[in-house]
Amino acid sequence: MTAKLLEVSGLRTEFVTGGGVIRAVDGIDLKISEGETLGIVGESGCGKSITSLSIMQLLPSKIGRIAAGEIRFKGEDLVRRSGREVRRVRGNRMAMIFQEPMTSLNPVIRIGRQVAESARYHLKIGRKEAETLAIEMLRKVGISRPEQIVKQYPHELSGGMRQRVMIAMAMVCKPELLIADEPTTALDVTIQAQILDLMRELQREEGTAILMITHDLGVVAEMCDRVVVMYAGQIVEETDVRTLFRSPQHPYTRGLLDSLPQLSEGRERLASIPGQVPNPLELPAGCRFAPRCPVKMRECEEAVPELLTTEEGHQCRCFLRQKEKEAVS
Amino acid sequence: MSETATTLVPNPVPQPSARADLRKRQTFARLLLKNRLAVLGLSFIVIWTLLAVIAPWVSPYEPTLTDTASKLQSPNAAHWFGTDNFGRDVLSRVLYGARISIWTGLIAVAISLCIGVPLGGIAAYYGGRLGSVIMRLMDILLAFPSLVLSMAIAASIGAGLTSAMIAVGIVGIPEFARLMYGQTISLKEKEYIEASRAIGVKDNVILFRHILPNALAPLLVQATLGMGFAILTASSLSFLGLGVKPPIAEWGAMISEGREYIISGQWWLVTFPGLGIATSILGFNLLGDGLRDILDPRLRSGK
Repeated sequence: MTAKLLEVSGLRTEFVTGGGVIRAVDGIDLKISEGETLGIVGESGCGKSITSLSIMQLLPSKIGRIAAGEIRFKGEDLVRRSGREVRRVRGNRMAMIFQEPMTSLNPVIRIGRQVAESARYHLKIGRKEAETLAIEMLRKVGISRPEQIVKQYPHELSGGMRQRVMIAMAMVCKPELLIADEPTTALDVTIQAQILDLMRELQREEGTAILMITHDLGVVAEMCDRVVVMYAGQIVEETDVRTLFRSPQHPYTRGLLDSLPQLSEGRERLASIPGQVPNPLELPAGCRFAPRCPVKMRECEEAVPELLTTEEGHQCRCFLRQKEKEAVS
Repeated sequence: MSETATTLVPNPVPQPSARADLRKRQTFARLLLKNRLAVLGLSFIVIWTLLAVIAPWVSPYEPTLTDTASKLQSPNAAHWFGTDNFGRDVLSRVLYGARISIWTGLIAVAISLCIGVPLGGIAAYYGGRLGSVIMRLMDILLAFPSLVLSMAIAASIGAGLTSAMIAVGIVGIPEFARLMYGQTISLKEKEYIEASRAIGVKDNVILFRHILPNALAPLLVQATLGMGFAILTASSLSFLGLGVKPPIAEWGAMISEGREYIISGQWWLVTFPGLGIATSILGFNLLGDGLRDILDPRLRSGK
């Protein structure tokens, strides 16, 4: 077993809004080993992005806060660190790629300075060295003629190139953990594949662990070692990627897999999960998926199921699986 | 714009940056030249600045040279703008007055910028109680009529050119603070600002090296408009005797000294410095309005 790089336990993130306190992330546990890729999947609004922002300690400070839990990066709890100590980790040992390459680069600063910026802070290198490093990084992420690109502004680059620049920015300090929040959502499919290939290649070279946040199960299948499925701020299923696709246990995961287009079936309409993610201010009393669940039972509306280990390395939050397991044993 | 269209191409060959830069500058210059009023404004400013710089060489007389024998002459071949009650050449005094006025405008706007922009940026970026205190102080400054406030400040530091500059500068602070406040409030939510936080950049660096450059365009417009305001207010202070001390040539002071002679028909004493004030302010206002038109849509579509 490789060492744990990041351990999140009992993380609860809350937002204070006019309507009350929203628990966007409600008690989740994550473990990422060195060099591993963990995927977090779920619909919009299920707390994936808030989880990543919590790990980076980048929650909007006025309204969002980590109410409980620990985020241990190499054993150090980041929640209880000062701003300066967190900054030393951020960008240096733990970096993040954002969803929107079009808006994640500062429009008035040249590419070279943006790429080298974190290196200049964390590695304390000079302007000249930084430029050389930026050129080297841009070449590494597959940008041709990086000597010219460093002098350009973001609006002169295409979306795919900007996402490559974002990756170069994130990887410049050789972080141990890279958090990618929907890194390919805003890109064309062909570019998506290139970007994913690039991330995998860099991961192999540098041994970086990746936390991949996505709603695209195709990306999960291609990239991840293990997968966490989130629903309404909770983990509903966690397993390795093969098992998830071969034998999903939670009805929600099944619903997600069923709504993928299948080439072999040629159905007219895609299957979908009826209903919507519940309003976080009015969560159901029992299982949070119960209102949309096709195999709902009476107890699902009364009690909250626990996240239980159903098989070796497979966890699921569902009464049905618990019953099955009890029946077997 | 064309930039956004090219971003859809998977692997476009980017323009060599030198050429792209040049093209961008050319478009800016072309847009500016297409705006007739802005060109008019710019030419007023250029002419006055040039005259101010070369005043010692082109002025026909010393601005403070009195010649009681030829006092209160109407415009003639020897004195194009006539002479005043001490026989001083009005043309020379107007030219030297341009130096003082433009200099006052520059210093006053610099004071407003250097204090107002950081205050507004800090108030917006950190927000909370600090932000409220700063912005309420700005509201207090704004609540006074600007001339009354600058008079009060100038009078309390003591009359003189320096105190006039400081007074006008202080009065201009809230405008810049509010502008920067609004810009920062919207810019700090941008993803690229969050991205720079995610790579561990310090707050003050984010504020001044990432947010400020994005807010430059409106600040530039405000600074240009502020120049006009500063020249006017400084002249008003001099007119009221709170600015420069005689015999230094300054437009406001010249009007003040010459106003007694309007009734007796010596119109040239006030008309020429008055035209100086009017054209220079008009120049800055026209250029400021033009810049606003040119810079705003470009910045929006540039993203």
